[in-house]
Amino acid sequence: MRRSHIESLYRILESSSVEVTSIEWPELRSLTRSLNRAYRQSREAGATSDLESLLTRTRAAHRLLTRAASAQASDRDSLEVLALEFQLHLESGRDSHIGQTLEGIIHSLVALANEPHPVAPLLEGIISRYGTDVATGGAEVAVVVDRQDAQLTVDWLNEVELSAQVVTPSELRRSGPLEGVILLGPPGRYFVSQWADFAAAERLGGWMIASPPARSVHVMLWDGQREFRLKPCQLFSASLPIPATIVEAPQAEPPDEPIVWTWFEPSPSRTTFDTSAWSSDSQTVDAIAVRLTNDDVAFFSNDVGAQPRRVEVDGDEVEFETTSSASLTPGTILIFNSQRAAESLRADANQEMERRFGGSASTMTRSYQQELKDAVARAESQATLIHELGKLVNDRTYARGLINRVQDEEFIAPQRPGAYPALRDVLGLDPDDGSRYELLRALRVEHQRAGQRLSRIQRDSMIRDTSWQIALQEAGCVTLEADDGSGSFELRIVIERENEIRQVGRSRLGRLIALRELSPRQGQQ
Amino acid sequence: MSRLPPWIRFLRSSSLTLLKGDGNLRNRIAIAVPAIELSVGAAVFATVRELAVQRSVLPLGIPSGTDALSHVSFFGSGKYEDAVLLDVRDGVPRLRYSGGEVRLEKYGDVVRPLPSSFEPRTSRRALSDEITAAWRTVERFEANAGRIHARVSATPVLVIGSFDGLQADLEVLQGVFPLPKSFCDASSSVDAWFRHPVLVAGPQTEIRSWFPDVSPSLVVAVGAAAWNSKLRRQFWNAPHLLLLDRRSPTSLEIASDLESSVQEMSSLDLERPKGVEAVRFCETSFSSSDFDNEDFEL
Repeated sequence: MRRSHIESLYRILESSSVEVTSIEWPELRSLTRSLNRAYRQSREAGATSDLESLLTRTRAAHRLLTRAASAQASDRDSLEVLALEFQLHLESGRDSHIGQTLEGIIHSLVALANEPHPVAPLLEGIISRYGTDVATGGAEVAVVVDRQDAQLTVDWLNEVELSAQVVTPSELRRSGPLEGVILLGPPGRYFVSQWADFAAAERLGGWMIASPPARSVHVMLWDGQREFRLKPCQLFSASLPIPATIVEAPQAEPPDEPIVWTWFEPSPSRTTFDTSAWSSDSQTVDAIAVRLTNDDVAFFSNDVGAQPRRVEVDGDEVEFETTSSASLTPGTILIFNSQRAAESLRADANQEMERRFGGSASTMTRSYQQELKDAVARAESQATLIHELGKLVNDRTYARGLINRVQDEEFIAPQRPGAYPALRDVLGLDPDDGSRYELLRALRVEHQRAGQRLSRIQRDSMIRDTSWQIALQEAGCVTLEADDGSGSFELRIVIERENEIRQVGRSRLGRLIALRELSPRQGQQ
Repeated sequence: MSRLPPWIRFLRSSSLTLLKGDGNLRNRIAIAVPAIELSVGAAVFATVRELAVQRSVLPLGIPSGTDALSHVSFFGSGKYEDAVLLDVRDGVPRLRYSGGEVRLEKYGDVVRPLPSSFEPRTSRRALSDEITAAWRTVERFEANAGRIHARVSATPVLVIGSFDGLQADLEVLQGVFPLPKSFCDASSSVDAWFRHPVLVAGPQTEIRSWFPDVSPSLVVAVGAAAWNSKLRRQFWNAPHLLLLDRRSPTSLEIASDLESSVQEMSSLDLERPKGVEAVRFCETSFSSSDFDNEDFEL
């Protein structure tokens, strides 16, 4: 970025303002509420797969209405078709226990199909305030959209003969200075995902308000969306408030439940899937595995730690830019929901620990604490202590830690951020005392070595026996085990499948398990 | 300086706040800027300039006789060289160097004992005319330019980040600052300690055994990887400036981690330009992410 760019960036920030436009759209709000209710009722009381499919498609239509810049004639037709299908479903007598809710949906769909889209004229009004940058020839204003909505928005802009850039948040991040930026919803909504709840997403996307590359930021809010607030957009809660001027206050009404605003959207093609898990458990899905065409499986998770900058896709190295999202295509995406599996794992894991090591996880945790404390008391020097501690850390410790991690105790699991402070607490060290760092580090390294050892065992096991891949394809559920005699752990994962291409931000990229070691091409489907 | 843009003034003031400090060497300032470009260069230049002004009136201490026969780095006749300290009489060190023996009557304060595990260097480093000219120009040090350069280099600014990035910043900042690249005279090798006012090292730089025996004036950590690096922890007892790109997702990770691990965090009491967030805190304990950079695969 040139100096002039940086200087103009700071210059426009000096006079930046935030303009919030609340869009009255009672029909949409009504549909949002009815859809939420229908999802909830179908989870609680069950529903036929046909209805689930219908709800899924309605949710997609709802999303399109709120996130794309316009409602085109074809969209209205599709709303009417959906209303008709709901009507036929009701008349067939199925899912009658939620019939009233479905009638509400039908009513809202019909109303929306016959209403003019209220966003288009507002957007036109805003965009028409801006012109074209003389120097670059590009539009001075940009509409920020999700990638999948970009083309629709471009088409609409062409249709109404308005000039605006259409950018994704990632593109906006790298953009040069602009006069205006239009956000379709609060900034957090662009970043909500399984890995970032709305509070985290607001901070993540807060730069679009706190340090936007534009003199004016226009935030468009729909009925039922979360309100726009400045404070949560700050990176540090302790820093001074963002000095932005809000031109128009947002609506004060409380937001609807965010079920239909979540990042995930089930694929209409998926029919064997327990739909209730999608919406209600969307916050608990904590990893995604992407099967690449070369049979590599890339795992994406929200674990902290080093993130690879490169992965292999189709034999080529793909580099992920620091701030952009990665498109991994084509492939099968597997959703790994460990928290949902944790319930069943707890009992099994404790039973397994009892059988193999003669103690439950909690018993062993207490005994390990005592062993550590004894070692500290016995040690004559730091070197001796490190040696003693190293001996205590073995596969058994790690296996226990892994289980504790699943149980969310965050005690000793090497991969968890809380592991280190936990070790420090076990040893009774003063948090302010930095002098014992080497000791703690040595212990930490030993834990990690144990973890690496077992990780290798797991991978070897996966390579030796590829039946897990077949089971995965067939049942969507697989149990992985690793056991080399000296220590073991069992990992049961529940995996759901979806045959859609996803954009996955690099920040979510976890660890790539390189199944390229499969030889020769074992596990090909 | 009044004509500097507000964001550069802010970075400068932040660095100076850390340099002046309150006696607590674990003071930290974290700044999130809209674009990381130029901010590192601006902060580093401002820091070196302030150090130069401070050191121009405050000579360093002269080694004592107890350091006799130890290796030292010294500056004389426009060159840096490592030598053996023979003795110190009447406050004048006598050295044995490649050219024989010399008594440094005027340059005694730029004789710096090398840490015991620091391998003495056989190479010499002559300050180029360009660098000397920059040091003469920036604060009009005239004949003292080399000596002040040596005083600043004794406790340099350590940047954990990209050398090329810093150099690019300094090149672009030409025009805002006088001769920034030559003045900062950065080196990309930590083994050049005592010979450059600015040292730049990547987060993965191999840890040297002598790190605990040297003291940077300021550690500038650029981004999350630098903040979480082992290298930064080696200089626990030095003020640290963390520069974050507000738009980078990794900045949120660092911010969340700091907020959960730092006992007290407050806003920086400086006039802040729009688009910039800044907090100050004292790093009294390790944050959890400090220990999560030795990952294993699972």
